[in-house]
Amino acid sequence: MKADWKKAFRAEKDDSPSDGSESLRAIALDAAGPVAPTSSTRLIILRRLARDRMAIVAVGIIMIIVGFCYFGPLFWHLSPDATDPLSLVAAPSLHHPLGTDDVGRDVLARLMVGGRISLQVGIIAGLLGTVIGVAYGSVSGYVGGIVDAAMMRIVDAVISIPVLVLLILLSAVIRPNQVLLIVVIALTSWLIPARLIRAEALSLKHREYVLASRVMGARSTRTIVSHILPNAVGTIVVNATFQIADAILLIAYLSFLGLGIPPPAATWGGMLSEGMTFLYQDPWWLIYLPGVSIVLVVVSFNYLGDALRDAFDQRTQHGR
Amino acid sequence: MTRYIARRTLQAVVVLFGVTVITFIILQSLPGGPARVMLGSHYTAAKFAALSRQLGLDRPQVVQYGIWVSHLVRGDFGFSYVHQVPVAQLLVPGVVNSAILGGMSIVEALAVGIPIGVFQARRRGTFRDTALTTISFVFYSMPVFFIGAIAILYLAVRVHIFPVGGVLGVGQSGVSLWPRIYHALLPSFVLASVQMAAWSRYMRSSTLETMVQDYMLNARAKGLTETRAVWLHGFRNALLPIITLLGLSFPALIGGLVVVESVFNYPGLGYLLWQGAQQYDFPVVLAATVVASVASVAGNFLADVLYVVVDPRIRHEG
Repeated sequence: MKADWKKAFRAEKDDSPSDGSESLRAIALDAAGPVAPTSSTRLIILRRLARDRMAIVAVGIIMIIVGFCYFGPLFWHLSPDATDPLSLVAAPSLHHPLGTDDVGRDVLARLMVGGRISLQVGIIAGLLGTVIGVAYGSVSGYVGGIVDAAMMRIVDAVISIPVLVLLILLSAVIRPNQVLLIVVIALTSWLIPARLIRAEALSLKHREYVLASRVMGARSTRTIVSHILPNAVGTIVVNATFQIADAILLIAYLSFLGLGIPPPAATWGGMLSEGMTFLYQDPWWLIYLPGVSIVLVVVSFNYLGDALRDAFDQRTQHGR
Repeated sequence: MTRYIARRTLQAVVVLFGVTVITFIILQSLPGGPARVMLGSHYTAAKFAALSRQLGLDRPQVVQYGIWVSHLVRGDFGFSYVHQVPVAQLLVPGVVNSAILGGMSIVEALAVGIPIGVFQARRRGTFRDTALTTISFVFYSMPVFFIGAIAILYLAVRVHIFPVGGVLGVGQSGVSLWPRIYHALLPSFVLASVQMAAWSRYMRSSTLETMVQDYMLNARAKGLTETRAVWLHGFRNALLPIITLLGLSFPALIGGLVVVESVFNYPGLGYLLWQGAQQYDFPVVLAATVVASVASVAGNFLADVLYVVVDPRIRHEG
């Protein structure tokens, strides 16, 4: 089947139809083959990334939010679960700089703790989903033939069930904690990396160095691990970044729907959903603070993925 | 073309088979097993024994699967635990409401996103283009419930332009079309805002691709203004990939429907699914999952068929 809808969104890079000279250059670069990052190419990629201002901003935002969530509580001692019955749904004040929620819990403290769930579950689930997808896709593409066809029809079937629907179904069957949530999200998000890596494996397996490795008697596992995967590393890294952004959005959706980590645990999505119950009191701090936090993290990861793709792909180097 | 459609139909059938197998496996792993789940609040020991026999629970899994699918095909999804009626009675109005909401949002998203994309492509690299790209990136990264919350806060609570939620008098017969559309308006705008970001981006790059084609050069050479060349020759070609993407966007659209419907308490399929999951109403959850998946497979299939119908180059390839 064709590429995925979401994948397509990400693939729509500002790749302007190039004139002749540029496409010649692209062909020349392509003939040289993809370059597995050795320490020097890794440096080149990092240097390219550092030149991208938006990427720096994205990394900065992610680092600030990580610091806020993990080190913030060292400086802000109010408990995220302590209630203050004298100030319910209270607007920001000196005592509660970001206001309180419906049972008088401090929003600042809850934002910090809630962000941890989004970040740690999102990052681990995104990475785990990528690992599963890479393993599945590389085997499918490398082995090929009827095995490949069967494995890809399974992907087609699972991908037809809307991810959120599948997640809701699964989280109704099992009450999730953080570990289960990671597993469940990873199990629903390996499909896109599987397709991407399969496509890479399909094209890479006919390269001379792969043939050489096989002629020398390397087993399939070894060929995949030491020749296919290193050459697909760009695709893998870029996709992992997008997977993390998607996973963080999915966690937000699930906790907003009340199907994520059960209360009283603080989650950004859950905080926003509680805030919506009091919309008539116009509690902007309960809506905007968690909402903007989610958007900042997700946009940052998406931008980072975009920048990483540029850094890995020599062909888009002629400018954004 | 017939061959292509036949192959594509076969593929859709295989995928549907996979979807039902996955749902069946989840059904099997539910507490109490499928007979208990299907009976719901209508449970008695005698009925349980009868249904177990009818479902062939003493027979091999393959047979059980076949029986379950034959129930599905006949529209028999079991009884809702919570509502105490056959699930199909809940599903039908839910699907209708969701189709209204989803359809409206698609039309709105395309109506705004596509012209924006063409606009951006024609002014590629300008400040306005970059600004619009950035905005679409942010919208794409926004959880749809956040947009929904802001919309309710400003348009329904502070200024009473739109109703806050629900559909007046649904369930009562004879609800005319207008109140349905009126109540679906704000949710559909919210749902459309997320999709719009994607459509403008696709349309931008699709238009950029057509602008360097030979037929565009020809159109310009024969003296058409750039505007006429783009809209008369480039536009329809740029639309072609959008058809395929429209089909592929169905799973995401259904996910969005679930969230938007729960934000606005809009009684569609997604709302049923959400309520069902919260109340552990498994027959409803499973049925909604199957229907949502069938809808997304069907959407994908229809888009692919439409593509062949629209594009004669593929139609004549056979």
